[in-house]
Amino acid sequence: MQKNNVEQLLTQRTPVLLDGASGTQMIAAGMPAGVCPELWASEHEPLLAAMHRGYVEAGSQIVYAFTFGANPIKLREYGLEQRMEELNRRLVRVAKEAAGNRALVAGDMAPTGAFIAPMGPLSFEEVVEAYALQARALAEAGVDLFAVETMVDVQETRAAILGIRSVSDLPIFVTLSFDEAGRTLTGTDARTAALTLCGMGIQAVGANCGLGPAGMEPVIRAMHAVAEVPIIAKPNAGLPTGEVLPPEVFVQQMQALVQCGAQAIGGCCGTDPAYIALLRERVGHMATQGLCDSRPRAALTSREQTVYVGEGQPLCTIGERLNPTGKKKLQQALREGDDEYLLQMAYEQMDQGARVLDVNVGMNGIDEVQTLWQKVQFLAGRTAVPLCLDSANADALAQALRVYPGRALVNSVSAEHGKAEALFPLIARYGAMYIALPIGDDGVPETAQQRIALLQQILAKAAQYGIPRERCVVDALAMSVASQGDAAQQALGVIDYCHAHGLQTVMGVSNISFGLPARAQVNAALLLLARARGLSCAIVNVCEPTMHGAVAASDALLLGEEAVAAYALGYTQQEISQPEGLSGAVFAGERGRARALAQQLLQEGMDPQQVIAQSIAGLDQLGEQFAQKKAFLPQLMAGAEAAKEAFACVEPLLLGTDAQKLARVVIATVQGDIHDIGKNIVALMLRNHGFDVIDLGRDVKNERIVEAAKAYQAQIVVLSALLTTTMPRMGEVAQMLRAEGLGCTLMVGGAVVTPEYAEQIGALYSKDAAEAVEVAKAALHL
Amino acid sequence: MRVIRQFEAMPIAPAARDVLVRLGAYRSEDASMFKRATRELSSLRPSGRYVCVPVRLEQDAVYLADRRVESRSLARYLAGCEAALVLAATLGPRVCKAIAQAFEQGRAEDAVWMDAAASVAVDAGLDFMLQQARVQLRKETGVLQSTRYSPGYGDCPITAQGDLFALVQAQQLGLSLSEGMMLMPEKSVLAVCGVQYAKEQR
Repeated sequence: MQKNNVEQLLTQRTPVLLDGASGTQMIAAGMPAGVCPELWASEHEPLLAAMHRGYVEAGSQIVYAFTFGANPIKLREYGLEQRMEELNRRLVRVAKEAAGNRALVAGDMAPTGAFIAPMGPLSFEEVVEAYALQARALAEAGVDLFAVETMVDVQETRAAILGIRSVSDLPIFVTLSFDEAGRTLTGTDARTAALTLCGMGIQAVGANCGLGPAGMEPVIRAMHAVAEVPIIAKPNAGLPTGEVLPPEVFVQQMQALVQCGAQAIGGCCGTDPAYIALLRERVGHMATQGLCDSRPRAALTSREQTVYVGEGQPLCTIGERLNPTGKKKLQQALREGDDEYLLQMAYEQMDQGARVLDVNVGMNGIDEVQTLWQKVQFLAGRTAVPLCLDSANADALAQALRVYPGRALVNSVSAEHGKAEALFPLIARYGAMYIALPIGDDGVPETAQQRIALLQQILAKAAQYGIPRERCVVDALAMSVASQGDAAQQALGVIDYCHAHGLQTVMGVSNISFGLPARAQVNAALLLLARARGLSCAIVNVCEPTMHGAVAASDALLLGEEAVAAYALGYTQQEISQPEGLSGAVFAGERGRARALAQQLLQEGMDPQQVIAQSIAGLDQLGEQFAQKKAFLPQLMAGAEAAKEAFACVEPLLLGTDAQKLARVVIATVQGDIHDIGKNIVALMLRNHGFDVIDLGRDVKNERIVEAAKAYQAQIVVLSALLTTTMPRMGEVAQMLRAEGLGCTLMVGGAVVTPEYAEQIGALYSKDAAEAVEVAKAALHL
Repeated sequence: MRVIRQFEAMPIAPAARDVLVRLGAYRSEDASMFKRATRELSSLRPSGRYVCVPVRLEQDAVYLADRRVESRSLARYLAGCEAALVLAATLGPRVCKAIAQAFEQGRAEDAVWMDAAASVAVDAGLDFMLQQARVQLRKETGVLQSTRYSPGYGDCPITAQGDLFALVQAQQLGLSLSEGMMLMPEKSVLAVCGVQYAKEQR
């Protein structure tokens, strides 16, 4: 077989044959465990050469040099960092000699083994640099392409691509390792990985290791459906179950992968030249699928998910609230580094259906470059939705784009002088989408026509940087209708044009209503008018009910049956009728209603004891449900808190009367044990059944428990322990209580405590908080 | 070679179902409970570290590097293993404070949700590191045991916490051990996972 260049191979209508496992082969050849494989292989050149030759003879058109772990970070583990260049050079030479003119040689690059911040100790730039060093060594050694493989983290994969591209223009193949659920170790699904990486100037993307060929099918299918480049499949013959597929079965399953869209095929762990030879014989002449014609053009990704933009999709709502303009609390949070507050705002918007989050940190007295870089990394690590990076500062966007582990939306590129030149190189390098803002150096043009002219300038410049039109989302520019009477008409005109020319559109709708009353409905009206004419994205406050309703309802109307059902479900859940009365409010855990009803009943002259009885009736009802596993701990707690609200209304009226409490209880988690959730739950339940509970806390010395029992004249002492090592404290306390002649009842519970142990130490056992109430009542003959 | 790895804010993805199980709702299909569990989990990102140490087995005891742990069940668990990973995962003090605070402020429902989710998340942190190690070891032909082991299992004394703590240098994660060998802050775990190296390929 003659050697072809990579491009020729990828455009042929039959599969490209890659090689199979190399580690497996070297172990079979005698490589011992625990050594640095790259070093050992370089010291056993004849064995390595034989391995490569085996694959070339079997028909591999591309073989991977044995440089998998030869990056400086991985080699550091073996103290071999200094020999990085030499090892790569030697290993590539052996592969090239074996390949001769029959096969191409790929420089194999793989995980560093450590994670990138904020997940691990390595900085992003440190990893980019490490890969750049290895890539330079590989390129100088004469590889024909790079194969970045077995990647488990999309961010590290990005670092590898950026590292390679900083030193070489050779083709890059990228394969990641997915689990049975179709995700990488750090949670990226196949479709999302393909979309994120394809935009970064690679020549093929796919999967290797992790799965067998059958298990890899959904992964290959998902990638093929979205990828802008050919697909690679290099599955294992050895399955996670320990089963090893024989060549016949492996090859049969590989045929299915080619039908699903794989263009370049080979094997990973457990395969050998026999598998590749059989692949060539049985699969080598099959027709490949080529690129998928119907792949979606516009999509954003986060580390964990893909959001499609455009026709047939829900409106892509971009939550606008992470923007400090006019928000004092957010400004403060940004200044003080209160990331939790940011997270809370992010979650509020996601809960209300925001599909993308806009992140803007521009404000006085803040280093925007540093802050955006930091917040984008933080939010990307904590939220599942893609981010829209919003800044007028090109440096801030550059830094944030570099570390964003997905396909971000850049907000925005205008036709102002120098903007395109500053931003398009970044957008091209990181594969981002961008909002085109048809504003020139003279400000915002009034008419749709003028805006379209500016848009065309922006698109022409994007094309110069190789950025396709589908990466563009056009801002239709909704200006204040109070100051420009036809503002809405002009914005809608831009949408009409874009819709007719296959461009996505976005609008920040709230500008339209500046200076008008009842702004929410004006905003919602514009959104719906625009949507009807093809608007695909909107920058909105999704937490505002009118807007939220307009988005949800229009999605339901436009997207068919499933969307209608989802819409209906969203509302039925809100409108479920709740049980009535005070007992009903307690049962449902509605604190506000419980308090209001208790107050109302008291005002109507109900006896305070009766009010208590009603709320306890609700708790008892809940306890029954709990016992039957129809209600669970959270509901029980919500009910208890609701009952507490009702008690709080009654309590002042009972002060000074002796009808106040059922009995006095001292409760504690025993010495040496710091677990207190169980104890807290029991305390709460007892309190709300009318007991006077004195909570001593956790890790409480035996002596203190006994002293408290004496001082408070407790009728019941309740002890909790979660460990076998701390449980004996219960027996000791039991003895001490008896020695002191205290006649109180001892109750015990906790993960390791058994009824037998309780009986042995003369205590009463209960399995959970609901039962503890029953046991306490029974002990007092109530 | 003794590899130590440290992880911050691990992107764990445990099943929401696991949280419901902790709350006793084994078979619940209540969508709102799933939603709540998912939401609680989403904000939890454990940190952790692990170290790979050589293993030497005796009848009723195990040497993890130079530390002897007397436990027949741990010895059985590590049978056939040349090495073991010693792991620590934690959610740090913030979650524990938030749970305590929720109780104090009369938000017991929130507290039990957070508590259950935190327990699931810290376990998921261990599993995340094991999965990472599994991928790493594959190229070195090491195979991890499919289960992990913690002090308190079988006959393994709780004092082994001290040995694991020292081996993995859990203080680097801001952890400490109480007199009773309990990890503080509370939502933290130590574990061992055996490693077998393939002697030869089939």
